[in-house]
Amino acid sequence: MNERPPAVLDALGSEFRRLGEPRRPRAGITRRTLLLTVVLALLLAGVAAAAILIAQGSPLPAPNAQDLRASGVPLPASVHLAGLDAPDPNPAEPPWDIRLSRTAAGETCTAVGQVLAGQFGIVGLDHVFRALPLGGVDACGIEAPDGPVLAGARVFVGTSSQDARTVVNGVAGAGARSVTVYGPEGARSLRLGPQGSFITVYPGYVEEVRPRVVVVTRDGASHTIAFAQSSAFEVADPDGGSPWEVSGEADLGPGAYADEDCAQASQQLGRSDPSRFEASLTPQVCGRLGQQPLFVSMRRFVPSSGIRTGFPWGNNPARTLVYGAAAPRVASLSLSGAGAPRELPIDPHGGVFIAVLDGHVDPRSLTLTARLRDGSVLTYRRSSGLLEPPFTPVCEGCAHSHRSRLLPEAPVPAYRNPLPAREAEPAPPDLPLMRTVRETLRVKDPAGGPEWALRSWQGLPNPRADFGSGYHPTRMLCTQVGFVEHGRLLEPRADGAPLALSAGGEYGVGGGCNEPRSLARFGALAEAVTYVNNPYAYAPRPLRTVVSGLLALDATHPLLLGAGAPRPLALDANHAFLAVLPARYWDVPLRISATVKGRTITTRSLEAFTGPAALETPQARAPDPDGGAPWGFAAGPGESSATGRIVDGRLATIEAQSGILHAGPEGWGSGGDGQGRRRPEPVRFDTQGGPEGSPLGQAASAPPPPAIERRTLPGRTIITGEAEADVVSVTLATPRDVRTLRPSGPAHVFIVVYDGQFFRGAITATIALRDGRTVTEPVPNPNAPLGEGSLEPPSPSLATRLRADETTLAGMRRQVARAEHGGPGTEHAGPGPREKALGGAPLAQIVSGLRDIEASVAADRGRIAYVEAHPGVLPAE
Amino acid sequence: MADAGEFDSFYRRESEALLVFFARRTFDAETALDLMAETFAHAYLGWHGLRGDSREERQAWLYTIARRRLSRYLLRGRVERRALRRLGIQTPVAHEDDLALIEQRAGLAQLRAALSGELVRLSAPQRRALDLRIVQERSYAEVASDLGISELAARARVSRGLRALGRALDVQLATGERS
Repeated sequence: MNERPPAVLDALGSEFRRLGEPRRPRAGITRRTLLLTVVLALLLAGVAAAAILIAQGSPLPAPNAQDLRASGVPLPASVHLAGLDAPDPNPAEPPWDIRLSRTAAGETCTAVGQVLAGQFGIVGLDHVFRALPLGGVDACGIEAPDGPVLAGARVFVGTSSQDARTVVNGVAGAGARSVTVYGPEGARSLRLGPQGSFITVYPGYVEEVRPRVVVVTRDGASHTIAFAQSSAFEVADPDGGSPWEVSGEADLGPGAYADEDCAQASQQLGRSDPSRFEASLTPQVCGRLGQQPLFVSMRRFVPSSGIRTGFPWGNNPARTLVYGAAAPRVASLSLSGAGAPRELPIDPHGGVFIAVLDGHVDPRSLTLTARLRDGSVLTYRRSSGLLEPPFTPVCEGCAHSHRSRLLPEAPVPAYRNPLPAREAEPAPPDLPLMRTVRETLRVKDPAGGPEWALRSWQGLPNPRADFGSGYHPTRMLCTQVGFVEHGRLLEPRADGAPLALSAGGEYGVGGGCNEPRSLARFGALAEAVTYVNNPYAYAPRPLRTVVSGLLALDATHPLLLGAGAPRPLALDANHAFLAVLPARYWDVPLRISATVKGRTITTRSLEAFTGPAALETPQARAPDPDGGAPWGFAAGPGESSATGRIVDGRLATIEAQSGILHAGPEGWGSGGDGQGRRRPEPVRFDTQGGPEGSPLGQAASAPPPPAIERRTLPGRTIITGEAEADVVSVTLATPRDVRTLRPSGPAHVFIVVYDGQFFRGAITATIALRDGRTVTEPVPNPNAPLGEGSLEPPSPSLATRLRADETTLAGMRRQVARAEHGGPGTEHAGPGPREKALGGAPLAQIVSGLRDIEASVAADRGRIAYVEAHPGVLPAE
Repeated sequence: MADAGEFDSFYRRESEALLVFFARRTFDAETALDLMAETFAHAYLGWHGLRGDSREERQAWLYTIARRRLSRYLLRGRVERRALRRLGIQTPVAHEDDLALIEQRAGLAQLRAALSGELVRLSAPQRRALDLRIVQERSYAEVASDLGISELAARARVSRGLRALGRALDVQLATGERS
């Protein structure tokens, strides 16, 4: 476009030029060259004219004070904005600022948001500005007198990656002299507000921005805080997906060679791949680096590769991977045959390397060139030096013999695209016999909605279905349940249009198929599903409980128990039944009884909480980032624990997409990492959560209304802790922010909930004890790259592992010796003392375990001996 | 800090966009021109104190000044010209063609159409003033005559009506002042 601006602008510009340039800045201030750019006026006018018109909405509701006990409640009188007005990357959007406040305990609280018309809030994805309430969105932490402690990178979703915002913010303390943030465009020197507060805003998500904050204090000391950094050995995905990493270690399993190492590639979790359930798995490859300079796998993986191998690729885009491990005598690696030759870095820890290419690349076109330190050059045009997978018996009865066969080259599959989501789902188990379809069971909705109905039919096994080995059904009885509208059976959806149900399509909630023999075994199979009015509400109200199921073909007189007087259930021609009850049944278990061959059978409780009573009610609470039902945590006997939403004062599970409420927690804790420490840590942490959506971790397709209003991330990260009695407070530093929590209640526990998942970066806890000491502990982060703060404990060194194995071996030998030879007074004691010596386990089991430990010790010693005898041959640990 | 010698480039780059910004919020090309000029006058006077070297930072600084000027106009019903007077700058008179061009660039015709449907939210005096000025595009003198008030009062009534309408019509306003 080339339209002239209004002439009056030139005339006014001449007036300013007549004045001369504004007076120079003071001396000593750094100058920069301004890049002269003539910006098309229409482009800017277009920006201004197309500027999203922002509506003023109602303030977001304040969190409930009882949910803030652990995290501290900001005092309203202490609230003030820092006045920093950090510009949004889009100049038409309101600026950003930090809201500062204090708690009664003297902690500093921070929240980030936008400022519009003097109000602090957030412009939602719907372009409506809503004020942010005090508390809930604030992180309250202990401010140190010097150095930054309150720092974070808050992320706000956008309609696209560029519309997302990473807001780097913090309180550097009164002793701060400067704050510089390093991001994609280089350094930003930030203006400091009260208490050394700072804020700056980037487009994109924190995993893309990876900001680094450097605070310099008045004494010249420098403190660096890096967000979303990762020390994992990783490479970028060719299509912009999550990075890939490769891990390697010595193979110390039975039958392994002393100089054998293994490597495995995996894709990290990320926004496009939030769940490990769907992540691609690649086979672990092993080779002998004492015999050859490297081993390498060069393979194409396509959707559905690796089914039934233990390493399914899943319905993920095809990739060609080159990965393996190199001995230290390999100086460098380069890969050619797919675009320009590229150098492949070698991780000094484990010697692993990886290249990830688009799946169209044929691995047979690749050449891996290794330059050795002695000057020689080796080339590889196919997978090389790979041993058969570990634990593969070479011969009958010689499971611990060395494997001598090299792995044959895997065939190269033809490239294919991932299947559309619907086709990628498992094939339904049945093919309906349409003449058997019945829809005669209809019940009025006690909540005043449309009538509910059950559709049932008989079906034949679907030949495309995977029933697993040993299971061959012959006929099935199937059901679907929903409400009826315009002659269609529909399943409610809280986040959109209801789902239409049809025989042969999705079974829906409460539906499914069963074999007649399963019904005969149990008498009846039933499910109770409770729907709430608004799954996103703080206190969702149960509307109805739908009970449906199938009765054994020879059973009669079905009754619904637990909902007042026993209720007779009508059966349709396929022996299905349906009842719709008002609200929800927490305390009285619902059951089905029936008469079979003159005998009364009763099912187990439907939808009742079956865990220990101690885990039914929460001991600590935290607000949900979207303002929905708060989260609760309960710790019970035997280091058991439970986490879930709080509904009616109990732990529950909410399936937001379908608007369903389940009794019982969303997640269970197992009590630590099982490392059996003699002295317990001050706090036992657990981290749970993941993407929202289906129980299998599939992400929801569209943000729910609260996320649209608050621009919160999908999924949750929930950190819980059980603290010893002498713990006063726990300060958690996460990739999001720094906040201090105080354990409470008789169990001395706490919970904190963040929106989103921390795909990169570690979580650490600084624990303040009553005697004045502080202890620092790492907190597991299940979504971080493997080995980096993940739930997997770091691999011990060889020497540590050997000491532990030898201690275990000695103990087991003493145990077996006592059991085999007895002790004083046990000669005629019979099996009693012997079983006691074995901990109740059969002797044969203990002896088998002893042999395994002996093999581990031998492997440890063999590896250590090889490393000592051949220094520099194998990669460092 | 901003370097000397850049203000002219800054003006040439930002002036039209800023003019459109004001026009869409005042529905008046002449008022928009006055506000734009006053804003740049403030920017000229405060140029030595500008922090930030990136284009985005300078834009944000300019628009912060702009929002304050706009809020004062909406409160007082007139454009303050303090900075312009201090600099001795006379705002050039815009030709009718320029005014029409400004209105076109700002899409005022479409905005007026949208506004007319929202006038029911206002008090009767404000509604009448806005209807005359913005929807019927009458001059302030005509508005004043029709309403039986002074021209100054007519301007004030229009500006207050705009402010009230802004909240209902999703027009971004900023008082610029925080407590």
